[in-house]
Amino acid sequence: MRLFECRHIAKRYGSVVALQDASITVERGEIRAILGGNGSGKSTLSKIIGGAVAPDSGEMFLNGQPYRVHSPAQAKRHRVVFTSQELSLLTNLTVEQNLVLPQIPAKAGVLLDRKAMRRSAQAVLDRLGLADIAGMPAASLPPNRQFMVEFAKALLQQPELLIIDEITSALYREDVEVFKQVVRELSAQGCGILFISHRMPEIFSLCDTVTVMRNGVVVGDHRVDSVDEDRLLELLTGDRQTTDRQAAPRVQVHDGQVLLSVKGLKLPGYAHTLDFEVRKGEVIGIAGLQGQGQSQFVRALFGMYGPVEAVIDNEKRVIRSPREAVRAGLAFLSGDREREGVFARRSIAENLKAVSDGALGNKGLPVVDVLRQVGAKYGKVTDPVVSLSGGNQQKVIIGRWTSVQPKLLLADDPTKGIDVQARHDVHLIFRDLTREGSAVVLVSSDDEELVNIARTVEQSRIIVMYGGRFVKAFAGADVTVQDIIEASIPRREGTHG
Amino acid sequence: MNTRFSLKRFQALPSLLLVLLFVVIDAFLIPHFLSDAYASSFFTSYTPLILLTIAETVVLIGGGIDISIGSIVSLVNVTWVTLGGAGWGFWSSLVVSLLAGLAIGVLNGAVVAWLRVSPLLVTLATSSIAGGLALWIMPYPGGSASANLVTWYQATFAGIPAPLLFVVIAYLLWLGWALTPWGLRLFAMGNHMHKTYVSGVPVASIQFATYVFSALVAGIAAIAVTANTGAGDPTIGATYTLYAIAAAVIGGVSLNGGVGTAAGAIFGSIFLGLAFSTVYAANMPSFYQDLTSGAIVLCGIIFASLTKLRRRRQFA
Repeated sequence: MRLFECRHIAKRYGSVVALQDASITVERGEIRAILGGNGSGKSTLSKIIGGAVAPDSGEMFLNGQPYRVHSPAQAKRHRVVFTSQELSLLTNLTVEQNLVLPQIPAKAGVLLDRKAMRRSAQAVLDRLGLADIAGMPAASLPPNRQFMVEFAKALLQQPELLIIDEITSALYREDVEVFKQVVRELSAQGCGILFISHRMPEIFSLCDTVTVMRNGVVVGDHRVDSVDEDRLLELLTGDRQTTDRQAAPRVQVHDGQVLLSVKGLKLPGYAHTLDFEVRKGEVIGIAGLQGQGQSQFVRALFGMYGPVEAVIDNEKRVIRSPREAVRAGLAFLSGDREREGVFARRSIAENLKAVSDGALGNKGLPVVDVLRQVGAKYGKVTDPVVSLSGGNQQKVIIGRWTSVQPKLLLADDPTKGIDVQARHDVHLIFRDLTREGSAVVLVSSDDEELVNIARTVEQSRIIVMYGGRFVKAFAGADVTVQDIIEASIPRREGTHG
Repeated sequence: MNTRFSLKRFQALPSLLLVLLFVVIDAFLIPHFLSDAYASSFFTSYTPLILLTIAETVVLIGGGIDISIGSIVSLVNVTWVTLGGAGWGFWSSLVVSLLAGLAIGVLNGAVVAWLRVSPLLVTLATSSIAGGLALWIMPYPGGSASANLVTWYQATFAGIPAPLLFVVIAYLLWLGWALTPWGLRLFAMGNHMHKTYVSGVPVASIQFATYVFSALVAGIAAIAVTANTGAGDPTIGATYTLYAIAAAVIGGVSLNGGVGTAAGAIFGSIFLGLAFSTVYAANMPSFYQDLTSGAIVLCGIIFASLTKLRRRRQFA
């Protein structure tokens, strides 16, 4: 009998379709990879199977029986276990306490059985070669060890179907070998494994089958021995080779002056440091799979994680906080408008003047002029900002910054969740900023957006990040979506990873 | 205890030091401080605070807060005295009164856990409800509690003050958390609700249980209050709530959840009691007493927080 099957699973969050139509099967002992880029729906699918998210439609079967779960606890009772890259370890507990949390051993059904807890924790830790950490506080472990503990926690629940979400990207090489060994043992015992990953080397060395997802749809289902990396990349990127190479009016200007340079920038959660330089009039697109340090990079530049030593306009400065970043001429635009953008209950005018009046204490440009410049559609400037559409809200936030004429605009996925027209307008605003000599650093999870914007401005580069490093840089004029995706995903022969 | 709580036992250290410091100070300042009689009178006065601090500690460890415990004390106190005055038996009136207090806890727990409303708001509202009920049952202080109870409460047995029995009971109830899987789940939940949920732990049930626990222990505290005052008073509990929270923090409990022990709660509340005793003993004019005890409480909290901060740095 087939272990697991899901048919036509769909899920939307508001107006965003996360999963359109996903069907997969897992046999006993099968190790199936799920491969997909940003926004492909692979994480949503795994959360649905793990019981953490409820699907809008579709059916699931486990051992031929309909499988409906409303919580991770229920899924675990079916021995469906989900382990994710978002750590579930509790920082106030020891390793062994964390390990047994889903199933705490009890004496006489009542008292905590410390010996049994130690025993079962020790057994699984030994299996993973983590001998002497059972009694240590989980918080004191380095991130790679924490991921191994996370994996151990899943093992301890004796899964019948194990979903592993992106766990290997944080592991060291030796750990990855142990991890693979244990996954193979599980498979030999008849456990089905869904291995969500973007790491080609592991997919080819570990998995039997691979499901490729794109834009919430399953676009391919293959045996690993019948495909190669190029074919998988083709499936991943779709038939977008024909991306219109419209010849944007390009003026070849000689390189502008260096506007800002930093050396040894430290990102939280990564051990190494980054060097970075941006020139006047330049747009730098930061690409990569989600969660490779892109967001932290722009936030670090903006002084959110502590002091940054930078040379801005040939002048040495230390930026200790966002306030000092703003004073140094930096601007920060977030795609998360609710948390980092609008003051929802305040008026359009107040939102627009938040930086000029609120932080810099000058008047800035007149509100109406700025709104015209950024092309925002609105009723009265005294209307609350939430009365506007998402795109127009974002334009107001952009206007908040353009009104103080920033030297460098840092943007983190600024067009997330706004419509196509507004998105295009935002790109034009960025272009105009660069024409005035400012620079833009743009993080985007949408590779197509990066390619488009790189082609419409005079000077541009695209830098791909992986694991908190810059792994590849392209000149903006010639880059394609394929280039970006290929650079984002580590390959077998690749050196980064 | 052993490995599981060795680290947490340390968290009570600052409060233990504060207690020792004030014992030394008071030994010089207060005549007969080291006598059995003084210990007895001290515990008759401060046992309710010790119990309420234990009650609050469990809720705080779980990441919540319960500001209705003081009003629960008032409600149980006046219900018991009123029923006693109406001719009910000692035990039957006690059980009904405790159930009245528990009902508030059940309400707190259900609304917080399943309707997911902020515990601060819920317990503020139920605090008014319990306090209002108490005033409705007994508009003015009055009535009288069982004389036997009052006599027993003042007594000592082999040098041990009777009120300590209540502390022992509350501590045993705490062991219901500390020695069972529920304790592990409680600490996990207080550290991070969602992570605990995805680990398959029924977090709503545990949240519910913490508020029922605090209402139960608050009910026991009300027995001690009644035995101490010998009468009913609809506002007797009001001042306890915030002192219980302060004592818990001094005892090493984190307002962010996931950290704390009953031992810390006990030391923290004894420290507060000693601080108040010191102020009274210093013969200050009464209008300075609040100011001075407030300042001592603040210093205690700062001292406890500073040592916690240092320990965290050592860890990092």
